[in-house]
Amino acid sequence: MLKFAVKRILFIIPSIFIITFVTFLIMSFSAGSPGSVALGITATPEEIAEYNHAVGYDRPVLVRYADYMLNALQGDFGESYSSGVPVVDLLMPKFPTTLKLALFAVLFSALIGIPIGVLAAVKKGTIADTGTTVVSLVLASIPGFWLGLLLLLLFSYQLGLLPPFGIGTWKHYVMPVATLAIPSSAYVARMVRMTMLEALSSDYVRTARAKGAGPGRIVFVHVLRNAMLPVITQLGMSFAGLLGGAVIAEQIFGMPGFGTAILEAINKKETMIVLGATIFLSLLYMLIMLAMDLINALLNPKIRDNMG
Amino acid sequence: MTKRRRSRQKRLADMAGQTNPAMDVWRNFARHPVSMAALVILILMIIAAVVSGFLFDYDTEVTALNPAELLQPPSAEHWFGTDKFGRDVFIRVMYGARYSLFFGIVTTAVSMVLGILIGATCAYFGGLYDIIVMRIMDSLVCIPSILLMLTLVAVLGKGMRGIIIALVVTSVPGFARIIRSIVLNVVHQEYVEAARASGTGNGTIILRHILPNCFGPILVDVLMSVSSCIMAAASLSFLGMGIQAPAPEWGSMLNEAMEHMRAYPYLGIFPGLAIVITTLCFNLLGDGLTDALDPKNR
Repeated sequence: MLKFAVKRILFIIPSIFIITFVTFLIMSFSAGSPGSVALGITATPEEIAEYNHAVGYDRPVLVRYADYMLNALQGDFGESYSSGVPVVDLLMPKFPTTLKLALFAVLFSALIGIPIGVLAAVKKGTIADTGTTVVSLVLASIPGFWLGLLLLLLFSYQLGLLPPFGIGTWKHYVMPVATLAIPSSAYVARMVRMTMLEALSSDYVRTARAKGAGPGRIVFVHVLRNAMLPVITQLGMSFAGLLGGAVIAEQIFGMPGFGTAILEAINKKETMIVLGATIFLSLLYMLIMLAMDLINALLNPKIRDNMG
Repeated sequence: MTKRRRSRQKRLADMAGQTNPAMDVWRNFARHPVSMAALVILILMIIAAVVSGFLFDYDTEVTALNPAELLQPPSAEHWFGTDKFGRDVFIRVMYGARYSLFFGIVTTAVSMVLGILIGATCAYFGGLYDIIVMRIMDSLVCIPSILLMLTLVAVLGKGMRGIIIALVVTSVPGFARIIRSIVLNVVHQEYVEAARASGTGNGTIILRHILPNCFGPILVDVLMSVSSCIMAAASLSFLGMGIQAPAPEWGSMLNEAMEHMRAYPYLGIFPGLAIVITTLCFNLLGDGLTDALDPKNR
């Protein structure tokens, strides 16, 4: 197990460099340079060039990347071009909102999706199965932003039950979390149904049945444990994806989160902020995946042997 | 009489093992009314998308302001009502199919070709090339796709080109990985070894012997990718980073509708329904094909 863990952790180091470099390279083609953003539209090209030279922006991309990485390793992700405030100080206060959205969304998608998926698999071929399959397919086909608009229309505008925008009370989080959790729970339900069916038709289930285990014992003791492995990984991936995907809920419901900050930075051509945010979320994604892999390996010796 | 003879001929052909595999899949597929309905709706949509280009004039009917008919509810004259600029929402939704179907189909086609190139060569040649390329692909997957798309659009500019490249970059790694694993399964089979032993070139082996056997398994992923590309493109436009107003892209229509949703909810309903129906049909088609291609069902 230790060998596997060390190997898997070393594995992410090249990925860190690839991700940061790709993001850096993409952003280096951005139309906004420190000079053009800081000095505004009244500046002449000469002034902009001079400013860029002064901050070292005219050096080759590779040199700037090395510089950026050396600073980033010490926790310095650069400053906003226009205000000079460090990127970390700008972004970190926005993160808790987004984190809450993603955490609750993934929690509810598991609470709703897993029981439905299990039910559909156990009752395979019945109306309950067909019904949940159809509903989850429809829900998976609804774009998150439209679902958000429909919720807004129904619960705020028609029924007046929930506040349409802002943060503060738990009521403000109901619709954004639902917007993110509903499509995600449909996906989880589909996946649970699939892995459950696979597990139900495996040899150990037949053995357990032959030894006289009741259907309840088979589902809850034997099948569920094995079927949950890929689902745990999926939940981890959804969580990581929702941290980025929360931008849509934040936009609809006017929540000042991470995604909104990124969107603003993109529109103002604040390259350093976009870069810092993208790298932060990508690294977080990798760490979550690492954790999922380690959990999987802990629970399933086969994976360990294949990798180690 | 003739009918009976024909069925007898068919039975004889079946007995002789002369069935066409593509026909088998089609017959399996056609048995599911839901998948067939999805196929028919999609064909009608494609026809509507093509026809709307000839039927409506973009400058006068799709985007022109019409102050005389602002914000009218759905009626016999304007089926989906009119928006805040007096434009007919039905015409705009129909015209909008051109954008969404184009994004879905074109970006998926491009990503598939690139994915095949990358995945097949990785699996076939292996070694250091395989390790490096697949590491890059796996790392790209770690960047949250909506963020990667937003940054790409920010750099490339909002609009067609930006969206297409953003969607392709985010879809290629998935395709590359699937194709690589399929090809890895195929590459060591006897008929490939035989082709190699008889001196067939690498390119020919990949094109003639390996790829045709990958077609079935990736067909489903292709359809799923079309629907997720349509959704992603609409999301980008909804966030104001894709196709810009006044173009009738469904996502940007919903963005425009947001401020008037409280009083005129229909503005937010129809473009969204259009997206859901399109993506749902592609997903249903994918599900139907999964069943039809499953050897157990033949």
